[in-house]
Amino acid sequence: MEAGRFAGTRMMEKHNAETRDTVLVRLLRDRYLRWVEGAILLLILITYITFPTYHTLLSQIFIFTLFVLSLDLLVGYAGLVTLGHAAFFGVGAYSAGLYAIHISPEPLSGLVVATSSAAVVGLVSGALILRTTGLTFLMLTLAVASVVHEILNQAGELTGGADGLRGIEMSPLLGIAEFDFMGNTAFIYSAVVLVVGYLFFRQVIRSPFGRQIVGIRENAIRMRAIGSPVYLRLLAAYTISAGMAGTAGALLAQTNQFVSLSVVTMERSGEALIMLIFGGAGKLFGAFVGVPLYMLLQDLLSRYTPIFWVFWIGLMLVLIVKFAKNGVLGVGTRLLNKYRSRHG
Amino acid sequence: MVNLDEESVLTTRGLTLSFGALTVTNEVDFDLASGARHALIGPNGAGKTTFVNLLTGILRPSAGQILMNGADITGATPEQRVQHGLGRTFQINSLFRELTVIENVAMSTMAQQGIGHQVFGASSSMKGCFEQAYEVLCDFDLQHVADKQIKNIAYGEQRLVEIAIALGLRPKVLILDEPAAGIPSSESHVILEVLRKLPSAVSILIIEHDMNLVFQFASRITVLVQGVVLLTDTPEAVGKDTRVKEVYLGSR
Repeated sequence: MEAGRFAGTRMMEKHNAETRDTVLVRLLRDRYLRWVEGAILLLILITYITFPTYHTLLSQIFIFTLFVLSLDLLVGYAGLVTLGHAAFFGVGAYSAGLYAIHISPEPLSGLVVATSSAAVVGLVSGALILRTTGLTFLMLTLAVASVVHEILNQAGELTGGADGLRGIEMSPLLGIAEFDFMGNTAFIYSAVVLVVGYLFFRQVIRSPFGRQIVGIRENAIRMRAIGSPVYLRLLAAYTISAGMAGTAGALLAQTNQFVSLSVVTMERSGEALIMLIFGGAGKLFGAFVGVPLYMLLQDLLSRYTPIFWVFWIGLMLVLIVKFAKNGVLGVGTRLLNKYRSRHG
Repeated sequence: MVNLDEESVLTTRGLTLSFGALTVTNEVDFDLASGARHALIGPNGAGKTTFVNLLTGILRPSAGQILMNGADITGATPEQRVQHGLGRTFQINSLFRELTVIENVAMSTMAQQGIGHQVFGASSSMKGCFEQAYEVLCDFDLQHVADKQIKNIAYGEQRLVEIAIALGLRPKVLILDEPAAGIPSSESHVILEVLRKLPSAVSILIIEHDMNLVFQFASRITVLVQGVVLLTDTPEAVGKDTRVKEVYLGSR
């Protein structure tokens, strides 16, 4: 203890434990967190009641939000830019589908199996590619995704290859809720899993582990110099993220009762990255803003400019990257801070 | 040069690093005494930074030994050396720029407490780490910028955070790589004040170009020239040594 303390008199004699605690509480508190979380939960409930015909689309939004949330752990928090995250989404989706067909149609155990398989693939591939950084790492994430894609494509007898995996039938959720045609069960199921996934994600990024991950993003050299095992920390983050992506993939397979190779394409990875950048990477709620925004825009634009909609998405992406660092949430935070500094 | 009266906490014996025919560090025998205020000086290209990189484990020596409190750490990774109690600062600020000042220091207090892997059930120990970090900030008189981002504080303050992070590790040995780098010599006294308040139990090796600071702070000086130790002695003796003058001013 004494080795770390200053030998001489303390610079701040007047400084006492009480002011220290006030300052610490101020530094560690989460402004608005409960409000935002409550608002999101309320919004989910409201959409359930007001848009009964959109339940299938809404559950897709929840699933992609969970997927993008898992991507945020890597891109936003650990600073690992990847273009192969769909590999884990795909592994989760196919595991859940195959599990339902060959072992048990029970959804929750399927979710666990799919999450674990994706985490294992994340652990193994991460152990290999996390020894590299930057562009090399980016290329290797692409390579891993391509390998996973090709394996699923070639193993046609098992996966259905290019035709996709058919014949998934789920037993009722918890033995009571049938997966209905209207998507009511799918809505509630994916909403609950998203909420649980979010709570886990929040726990991760606010834990010492999560803070160290951010430290690695900011300065890996300094992290090594303070004795943090950078490689192992990143590998743990990669595994966790892969597992979460697998959960999302499993949800898609179980609620759609069909899996196609499109879940493991590079387009899927890239789209998730765009959604994250739209919402704001490294922000707790980036995925919650980016995914609905992107899917809404996609829906509107493809309706009004069916041929040209990708152009508008691209243009918006350029503008956001150029002028709105940290996405919509980043702009929001900056405006809020400006407002607060002006109005005390 | 081994001083038998004092216990040596960091020792090198025959430490050598060669790149082919070029020997950058040449059979350096060095002893850092317990609680020392020891400076390493030398002209540009003398191999000071290389020596620091050998001590901290970034470079591996071609020959020789590094001992810390008697334990051989020659083959240890930088992380393992930190576990042994070796802390360092960087010549060029190596901070977490997007994070706040207290988060910067908490990064090392968390690493020191060994909770960096914890995801669940660590909220109270993490709070403890922030408290520790806050106390370190108070010692550096930085508590008023605790919740400011690094990129938004003055360079001189950033320089202090650089040291505060290393001190958050509660090191037994602290290597300061040019703590006054980039600070005008007219203001280096601020750094000196802070250095003087560092805990006496911490053994310090300082590499510095500001001779004013070196001679005021250090009680022992080692002069390194072309990878070889020219001499190790008290500031008075080093100041009078004609060889040192030759090295710095050139022989006439």
